[in-house]
Parts: sequence; C-alpha cells; structure tokens
Amino acid sequence: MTGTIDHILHFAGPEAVDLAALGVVASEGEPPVTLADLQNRAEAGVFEGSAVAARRVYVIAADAVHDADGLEVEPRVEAPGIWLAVRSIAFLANLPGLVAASDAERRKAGQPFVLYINPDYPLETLRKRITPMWMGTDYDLSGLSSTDIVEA
Amino acid sequence: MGVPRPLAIMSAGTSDFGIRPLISCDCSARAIATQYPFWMRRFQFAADFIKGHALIGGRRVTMAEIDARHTRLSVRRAADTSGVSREFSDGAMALTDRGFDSREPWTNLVPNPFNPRAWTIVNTNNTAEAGNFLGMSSAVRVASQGLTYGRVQSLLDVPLVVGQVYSARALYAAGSSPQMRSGIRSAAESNRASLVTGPVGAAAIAGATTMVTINAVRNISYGAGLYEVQYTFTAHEPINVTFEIGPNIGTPGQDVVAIAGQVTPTPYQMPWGAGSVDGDSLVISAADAGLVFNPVADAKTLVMVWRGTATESSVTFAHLLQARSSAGNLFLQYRKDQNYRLDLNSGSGTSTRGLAGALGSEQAFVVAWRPDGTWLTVDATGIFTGSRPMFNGVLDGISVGCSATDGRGRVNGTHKLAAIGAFDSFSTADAQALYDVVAR
Repeated sequence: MTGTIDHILHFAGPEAVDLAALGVVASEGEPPVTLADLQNRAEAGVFEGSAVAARRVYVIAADAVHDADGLEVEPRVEAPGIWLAVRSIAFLANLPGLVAASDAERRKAGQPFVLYINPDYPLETLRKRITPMWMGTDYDLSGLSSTDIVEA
Repeated sequence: MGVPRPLAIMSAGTSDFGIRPLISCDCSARAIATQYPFWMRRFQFAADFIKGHALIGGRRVTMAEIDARHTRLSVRRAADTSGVSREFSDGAMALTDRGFDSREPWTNLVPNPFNPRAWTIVNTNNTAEAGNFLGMSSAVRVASQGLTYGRVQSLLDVPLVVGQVYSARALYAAGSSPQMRSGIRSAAESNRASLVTGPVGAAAIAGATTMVTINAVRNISYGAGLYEVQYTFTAHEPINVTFEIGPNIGTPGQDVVAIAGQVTPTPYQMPWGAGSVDGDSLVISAADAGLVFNPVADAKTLVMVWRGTATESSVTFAHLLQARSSAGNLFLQYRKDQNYRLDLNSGSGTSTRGLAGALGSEQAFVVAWRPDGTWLTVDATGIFTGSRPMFNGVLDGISVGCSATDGRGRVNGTHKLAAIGAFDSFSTADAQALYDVVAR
C-alpha cells in the first residue's frame, strides 16, 4: 500500500524510544539524533527500505480554555507518554510502538482513512487531537468513528 | 569504467567557456529565452533552476526529470522574490524565480498559522478581511475595543524549551491604527508578555519579561501597506505561551489586519509553514547522472559549478553540492558557524579551502580536482590552487542541498545553478572563463 501514510507511535517514556530502531540516525559527521531534535523538526530515516520522516507530537485530550482577557482558566490535558508521528509513502506495520496508521490522501479525499489500529488502543481512546500536524494534514481525530476505518 | 558519453577535450589555455557563448549568441530576446546555455553542454549533470534547463547523463531533460529524483514527505511553501508564498505538493521541488529552494525540515508552532480568523480574540472586534496577501487569504481585521493590549492570539503547539532560540514572524497589513504589536505571552498569566510594538512598519522591542528575551527585530515592507515583523526570542521558562498580533492602540475602532504568524524552534527564519514540514533531498545516482567513473583510474578531472545563496542550517556540514564515492568525495559546503568552503576528501585526509562570501550572500563557484591531485577554486576573489591526492574510487552519487550519502543533512539555501562533470582536462584559463560565464 502506498500513499502518504502517517503512523502514530506511543512509548511509555523517553527511555523507551529507540530512534535507531526506527531507522532515524544522523547523517555522516553529524551528532546523534535525539528526541529533543524530533521536538524541533522531523528527522529523516529509512525503515524496512522505506524513507521515513519522524517527529515528536503531542496527543491532546482537552484543549486549554481561555477567558475573554486571554487568561488560561483550564490548562491543556495531554495523553501521557511519548508520541511520535512517522510519515512514509508505505504502511509500515512493524514500526515499534505502532498505535495507528492513516492515509493522508484518502482523508483529504473524504474517504475512510484509518489503515490500522492497535487492538490495545480502543477506538474511543484515539478520539483526540494530535499536534503538530504535517503541513496540509489534519490530525484532529476527535470525531473518529468506525466508518473512518479502511476495510481490509 | 568510463563515462557514457564522449567527454569534451579541452586543451590547456583554451577558454571555450568564455568564447563559445558569444559565438552562439542570438541577440533576439526570444532566442535568448529558449537558448540552451552552452556552458552546460560539457557537463554530465547540470541544472539552471531558474531558466529550467537541465542535463542528466549528458542528455537534455526537463526540470520535471530532475524533480522526479527529488524527495520530500510533505507539502511545503516557498516565497518568490516579491515575497509571494506558493505551495508545492508532496515531493515537488520548490522552484521559484529565486531558484531551487532547499530546506531542512521545520515546524511552525502556531496552529492555523495562515488563518488568524481562527485564533483567540482578546478585547478586539474582528471582521474577516477579503483578499490574497502574498499567498494568504484568511486575513482578519482586528479593531481595538479601547485597550492597547487587544489582540488575536494563538497558543503554541508545545511548551517552550529553556535555552532554545525561536524565530517569529508576523505578516500584517496596515489598517486605521498607526501602531501594531506582536509578541509572546504566558498562557497562564496573561499580563506577562514580551513584545515588539510601535509604528506600522517600524516595530521595536517594547518590553521584556523573565520568560523570554526578544532580539533581532526586523521590519519588512512589501509595498501597498503590507508588512512583516520578524524577531527571535530565547526561552527562559518551560511554559505554554501564545503568539499575538494586534493594533496596539487605545482608540476604539482603530485596526490592523492580521494575515499570518509563525514561530519556529530555530535561531533563524524559515519559510512559511503549517505544522511540520519535511526537508528537501535531491540525490541522483552516479549511474543516472552519467558520472560512473574513477577520477584516478579514468584520468578525469572532476569539475563543479554552483551558484546560489546559502543560509544558516542546523547541520554541521551543509552540503550545497556533492560528488561522492566510497573512497572519498568532493563537496561545496559551509560548515556551521563558518562561511562557504570547498572540502576535498581524498579518503586519506581532508583539505579545506575557504571561499568568498558570507552566508546569505549570493555567490558563484567553479572548482576542479584533477587526477594528479592538483585542484583549483574560482570565486569572487579570484583563483586559488592547491594539491591533495585525488580519491581513487568510482562515484556512486551526487546531490544538491543535502548529503549524497543518504539525502539527509539537508541545507537551507537557494540554488540557481549546479553542475558536475568529468573532463579530460581543465585548465586554469578554462576555470576562469567558466566562472565568468556562470557568475555574470
């Protein structure tokens, strides 16, 4: 399957993230790629022969609430752990920590777009907003339903 | 192993590159517009990214065939010389009248950066503003309700990282307010803000807080009442913050038009983007490029041409143009915190030659490395020659704006011309003549 495939990965904490296992390593002569790098920008890699771009994202359970003066009255609520978004042109089922995969082009076309959901993560637990998105791709999954899942 | 096309034979002292273009010149404007640059024809790989001329394997190709070898896993934007920001689809090279715009990956932390109509309204009256402003078309007119701090603001996607330097830019149009403001504000404590404020088109640092320090304010006028203010800031607290634009005036009804905002976790400005934007890789295999040869075994001179503008990047070794073999390589680059330079890696050691020009300035370079180990560079200051044993290995790839090894190490810059060729000979006079053609 090819397209513009976004994989969402979940790890318990920073120590559980092995970027080399994702194929994300530094170019020659450059310092090692770290999780902090992935917070600032996507880093390129190769996983099972496919080019990937990986970056850290945040899964937002509830957005912050502000009053009329712009004062934050309710803080943002984030899902715990470390979350990564990995983009590729192919579905990569063996990515470690894979929670879900979606096809950005199918979503843009208004078609079912969810290619995979890890059975350990029930659909309702994924009804959240993921940020930052890729340019041109909306990661707001708060309206996710079973009709969004691509039939095998 | 040979090069799959006849190589030009150039004798020492011949200045073919300087003479032939004059001979082949057709002075009608139409002919010049479609004429294939003579200097390219001696190269296996050559590209004029502005005029759209290209060779691969010594064969004339369209720029689309170059683009087919370019990768990027996202949409991106790039601005032309007038500042208009155009969108380029997944994988498509960002080709503008500046040339091929190559970029490292970047992230805009402002959600909905091109739609300030969706930002949070704070003590202002807002109305949608029709029109296309440098490629953005969801502007909003922000009118004061009588408080100078009225604004539209957007909560950044992630908390600040202490010590990180960020770059911000706010695109706006003049309204009835003679003033404007932009800045960074604590999400939890809205009375804590570091701002740039002042006359439209002349904003300056207006206040400091302990959460961020603003520096390097730059005001840009695009004409017709369209402005941008850019600044950097260093984070001192790991807190959530908002980015804002407002009319900065206490007179009710006076307004400014907010068009777009961006905050990137880089100490230098990046093009407009939304969320994460992937970087650009242009790597061509030596087989594709017609450059499968061993400079030593085949007794060829490796010649490179590059013209463009490099700007600061995150990588230490920013490869503008590279020819690589498993035994060594030749590359034009700049090393972090330094300027343009040529690096020669013979496999047993590296030589470096500093080249003319500061980062951010447009430069042209001609470099050559001969099989006998003598090499030369031509830049705006003249010719320099040196000696270092040539690598003894077959080329496996070339690249523009990234490492030829893996397409990583991506570089911020715009490339007007790039060429790599294998020559039977290449004299100092040839080099100067070629420079004179490509630099003019």
